[in-house]
Amino acid sequence: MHITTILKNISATLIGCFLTVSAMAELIIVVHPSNDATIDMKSTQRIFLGKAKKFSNSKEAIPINQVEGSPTRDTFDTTVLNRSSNQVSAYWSKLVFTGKGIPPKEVDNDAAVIALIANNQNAIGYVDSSAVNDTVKAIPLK
Amino acid sequence: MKKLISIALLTAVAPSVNAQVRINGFANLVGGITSSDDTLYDYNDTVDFSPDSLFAVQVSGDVDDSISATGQIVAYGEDDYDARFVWAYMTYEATDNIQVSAGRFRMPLFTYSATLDVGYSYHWITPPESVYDVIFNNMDGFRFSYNTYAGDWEYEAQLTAGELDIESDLGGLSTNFEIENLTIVSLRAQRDWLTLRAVYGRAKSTFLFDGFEPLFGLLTSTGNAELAENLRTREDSGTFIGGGIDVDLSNWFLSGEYTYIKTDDSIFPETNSFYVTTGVRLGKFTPHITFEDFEDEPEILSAVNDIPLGTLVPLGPGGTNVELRAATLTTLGSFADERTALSVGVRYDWRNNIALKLQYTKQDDDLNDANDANLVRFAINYIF
Repeated sequence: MHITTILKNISATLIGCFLTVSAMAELIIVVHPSNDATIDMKSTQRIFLGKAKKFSNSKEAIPINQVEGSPTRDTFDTTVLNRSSNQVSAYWSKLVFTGKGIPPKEVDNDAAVIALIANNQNAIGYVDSSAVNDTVKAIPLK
Repeated sequence: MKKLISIALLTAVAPSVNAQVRINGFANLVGGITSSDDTLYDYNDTVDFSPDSLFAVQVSGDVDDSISATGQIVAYGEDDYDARFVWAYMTYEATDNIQVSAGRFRMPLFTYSATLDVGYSYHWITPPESVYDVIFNNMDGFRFSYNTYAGDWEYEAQLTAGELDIESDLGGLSTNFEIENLTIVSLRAQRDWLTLRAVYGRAKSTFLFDGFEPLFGLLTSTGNAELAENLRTREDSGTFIGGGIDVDLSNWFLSGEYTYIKTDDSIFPETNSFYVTTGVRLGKFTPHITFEDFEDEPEILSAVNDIPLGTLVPLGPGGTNVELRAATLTTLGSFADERTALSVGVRYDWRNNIALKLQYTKQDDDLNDANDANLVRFAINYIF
């Protein structure tokens, strides 16, 4: 096989994988089934940037983040917070070192988010749509 | 006895209920070297690490649901890493929108005041010296903050009141700098990528510098007591005005800040300074460029020029009123300063909490070419 053909095949495979990954990575906001607050892009953004501490129904909001580097976290940072993960981290350094805020608790993966949300009426998190089950309430962001 | 036991149990249990003490730290390791025989921002032509390096620990904890305590201990390289508390304050969250802080905290003068020491939080190695190089940064007092949002705009209003009293070193002579009745009002509005900021401050300044006293004494003894008192900085009103604009899109940013400082009836000059900075985010790399301008213009020159030459008595052998006037003008003139600087640099986000930086700065002194200098600095900034 000619070297360029090999390269073409490799890149086609890579692009294929990439497309599959991005098609699968649909982000879903998850909260406790009892949570009746109105949750949209704006309120999610405010809660995860520490600008709002309560849901629209005045109940305390506890954001659950995913660890830096996880694909779901990357998607969340870029599509919901409109920042790269490094920018998000610089943003929090400003709040932490001025005593104005504490970054959201981070967990390892989608399953850990689901487990926490199912047991906490105040928690809000995000997962890939494929991880959603009936122990949580799923809210797609438009 | 039972009561005693319950008290003992309570005391044993109470601290752990709210014992959520958070410890965060940050550090900057900065090295720099200037072009040969030049000095700039305390660097010279041999590599030096002390001017901008520091190591800091912040401790915060919740006293109860609405009260928190924050302390910041910083060891500055320029102080030979002697650690000291630079901040120590408590914050009371009165409502969701209102916070009241009391203690020692950073004066909210500039956009990056609050995180001045946290190199990780900005793209430069240090924020532009032309604007940020003031001799005092922290104050004792109260701070009232009000936050709200309407539509897509977020607003923050702050009222800060207090005082500060610091030892300053000027020309090798240690001097006390007292700022009283300090009041600062700052407003910030933010919408998506746009942030606007305005600040206005007033204070009474006292700065009795021994180095000036011989001159003031001479002026007084030659019938110019009023002029001498005018030059002396004793409970003189000072004004600070600042403004900033920040455009921050995901791939690039453009921001600038302007400040004006004036102390009425004092030997201190009127200061005007600004900077403009822009940069591009290319993955982990953020190359940037900054232009800064600083101008100190001596005040009261006309009053000195008005010293009536004809009616003054000679100062004695070898000294005349002509020389007195010249000496006064020279002293005032020594405060004149006009500088610009251009910096280019790059920030590289090596890890999620570690940034590596390289920055080149070229300063042009419009009044004295001897102060023209080139400086190269590199930095490791991290948070933990």
